[in-house]
Amino acid sequence: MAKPKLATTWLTGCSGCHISLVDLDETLLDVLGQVEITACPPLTDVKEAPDVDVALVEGAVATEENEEVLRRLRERSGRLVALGTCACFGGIPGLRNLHPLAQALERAYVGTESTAGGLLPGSEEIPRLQPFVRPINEVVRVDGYIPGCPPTPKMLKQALAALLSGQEIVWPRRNLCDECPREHRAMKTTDFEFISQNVSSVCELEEIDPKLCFLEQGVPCLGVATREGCEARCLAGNMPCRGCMGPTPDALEQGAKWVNAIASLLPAGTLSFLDDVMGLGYRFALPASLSPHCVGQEDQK
Amino acid sequence: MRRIALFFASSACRAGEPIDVERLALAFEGSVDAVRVYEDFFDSSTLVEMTALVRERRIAAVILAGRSPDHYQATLGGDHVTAELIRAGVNPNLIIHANLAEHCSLPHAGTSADLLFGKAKALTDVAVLDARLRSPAEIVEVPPRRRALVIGAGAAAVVAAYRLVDLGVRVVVASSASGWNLNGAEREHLAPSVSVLERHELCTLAFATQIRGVTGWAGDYETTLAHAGATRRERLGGIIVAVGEEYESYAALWPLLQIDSDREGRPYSRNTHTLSVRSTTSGVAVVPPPRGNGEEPLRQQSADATAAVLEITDLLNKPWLAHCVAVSRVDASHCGLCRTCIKVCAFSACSIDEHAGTSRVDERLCKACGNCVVACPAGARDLITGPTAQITGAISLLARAKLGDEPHVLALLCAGCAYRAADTAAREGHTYPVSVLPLRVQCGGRVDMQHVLQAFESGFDGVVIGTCREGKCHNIVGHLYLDRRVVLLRDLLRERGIDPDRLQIMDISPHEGELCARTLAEFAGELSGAISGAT
Repeated sequence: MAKPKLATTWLTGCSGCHISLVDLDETLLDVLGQVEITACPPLTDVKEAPDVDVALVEGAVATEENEEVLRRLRERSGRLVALGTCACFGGIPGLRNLHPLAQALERAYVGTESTAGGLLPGSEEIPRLQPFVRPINEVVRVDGYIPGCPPTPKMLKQALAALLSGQEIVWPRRNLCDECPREHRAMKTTDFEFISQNVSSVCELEEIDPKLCFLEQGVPCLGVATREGCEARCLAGNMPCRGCMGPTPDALEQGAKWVNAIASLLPAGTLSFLDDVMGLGYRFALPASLSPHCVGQEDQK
Repeated sequence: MRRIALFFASSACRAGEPIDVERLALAFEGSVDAVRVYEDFFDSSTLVEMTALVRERRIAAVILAGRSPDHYQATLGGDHVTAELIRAGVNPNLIIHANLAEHCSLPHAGTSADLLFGKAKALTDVAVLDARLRSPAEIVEVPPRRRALVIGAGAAAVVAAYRLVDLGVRVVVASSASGWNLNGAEREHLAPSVSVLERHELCTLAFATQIRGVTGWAGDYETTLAHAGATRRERLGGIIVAVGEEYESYAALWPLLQIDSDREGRPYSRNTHTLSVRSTTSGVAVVPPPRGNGEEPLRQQSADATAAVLEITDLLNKPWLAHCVAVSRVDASHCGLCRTCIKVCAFSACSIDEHAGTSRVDERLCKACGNCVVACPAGARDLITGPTAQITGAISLLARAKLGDEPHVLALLCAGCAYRAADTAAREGHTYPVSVLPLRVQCGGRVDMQHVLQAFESGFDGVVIGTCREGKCHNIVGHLYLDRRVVLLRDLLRERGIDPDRLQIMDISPHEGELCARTLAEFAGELSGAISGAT
């Protein structure tokens, strides 16, 4: 029997998910034994992949070229899977949705502090940016999701095993607190003001207890409103969760769900230190949120 | 598919500006299993017809499209319509109200028939959705304990306790006072009753005692009484609050018993027209302080205390009471043990079951306010009386209502205060624009910021969140957490280019009808100014 064919592509992303594929290490050899990779940007120079059984798409849809590549790949693929946070939820590139496109371009190419005499890119050769960034399921039908920035090699292994045996990719349904090894102390009892002083900054790492829940210490952590599956690696490294695994399964969106929770977890004093609720709550999933781009942008469509 | 019957009360539809109820009924023909238009649900022949239809067609959910739910719950005998439907086999949680009188006909005098129809249709659509999505609640049969707690040491407490022991009900009189608190005339006239109470075997006097805890429900309350450093528990069926004019006592009791009071601290009943002593909590009666209008104050107190005793013994004399367990429900497959629910619950109803690996709800403590449902970041919780899917669906339905060119305003009204304030506004004849669309939520703490974003995204020009006044939240901290969530949400709106002033919090008490209507009308006016200014 012929080996199933696999193609990968990258749209607007950072290629980190492809690097994570390489991080499969020796498992990659098993995978290569089971599939025929027909197109994969870091390995092959194929402009048009032939028909494949499985396609993995990294990155969000931000340009006209992204949309075209994605649509063509969809037509040629049996199952098409979103690889990584950008493809699943829009990811970091999606943060530009907060500004009208012209303003974002102006800021990036002209208004940056180190730029003198900057010009907006205007060549016909460069794919044009679309007014706002979208996750790939806003453009084509998607058969599976592998979230994570980037997904861990373990997740990739599990997802590939499911894909190659024709099964659904299934992820756990709880929030990250389930996997997080940090302890709870104050949150064991009802108390309406349990953090009275302290930080909202992640810069003061030496002051953060590596064993205690970040929220209990007054450090904003997205873990409560983020789906588990990543094994809480950031938290083990004493870094609060930033939410790359996206919203929990029943949430309408991640940011507002996080706001619902932290408004009750952090006291008013700490909440007033949060000067970028938007950036904290929607770092990875703004384009997949209830209100995916700033108002006024629609008018330019 | 669940079988749904939709009953309209045409009397409610012409309480104010008339709604074309026949056209409305026709619009729902075919989308539910039975549609009927009656004059009024309280007509005895109507009640017979309704219950017969429920039994014959095996109807699971009933929509009463008529007056405010309060009309069928908190008027003298008003609950017999729902009681009959429950007897016919309908689960109490599947009796849904569409408030066509107070939310549509009454407050929109002079509105065109088409707009009024549009709003009535939208409100009924929401009720139909609710009837589809709610799950039946578990019912516990409570054999009421024939014991009562009387809180207070004044004349009203004496009369209430005396009446109760005389009726054979065991009584605990508890007060922080060190003894009876009677003035000269009261002492003279009540000396015989006091003498009986001090000797009666059914009566326990607990002076210099603090009330530390009240849990449970009508027929089976558990109270914690503290005296001289020791605490003891009393399980009893009903509670009479008779602290008279000691207004600070109501504030002190608030975390345990939520008794509505006006700005002076004077308590008022759930329904001032027919039930002067009924509070919003079943099984808790409140003797109002003397009205001070020159009439004999002791006689007034005595009459009101007797009414409170009747209210309580009416419950305690029943063989059993049906308690609807309308708690927050936990889906263990979602719970990640983050303990947010423990943190937010004002009633300490949430705990972690380490063995089962999930959070749990103590049914005796939970008041089904929904604060934990909103706070739960894992989406592991839902409210039986108002599921999240119902609110999401209702906002979509209301957003599609055709109500002319006026700004569309979604009014999320908390059941404890704001919803009742809107009822009061309508009954007192105040008006506000027809394009203000009300949606009842359990509590300010039940208002999910996701739903507010959804409302703006689905086309609402403005959102009003009606909640209790500071310190008057029936769920203690609902308005507090709402305020905090909204402060953060305003940032999110601003960043998205949505003017944060399109979201307003209206904190209000149930008796403030005029203020409610004025706030809604002014907000709609401001929005309309902002919209015309922008174009």
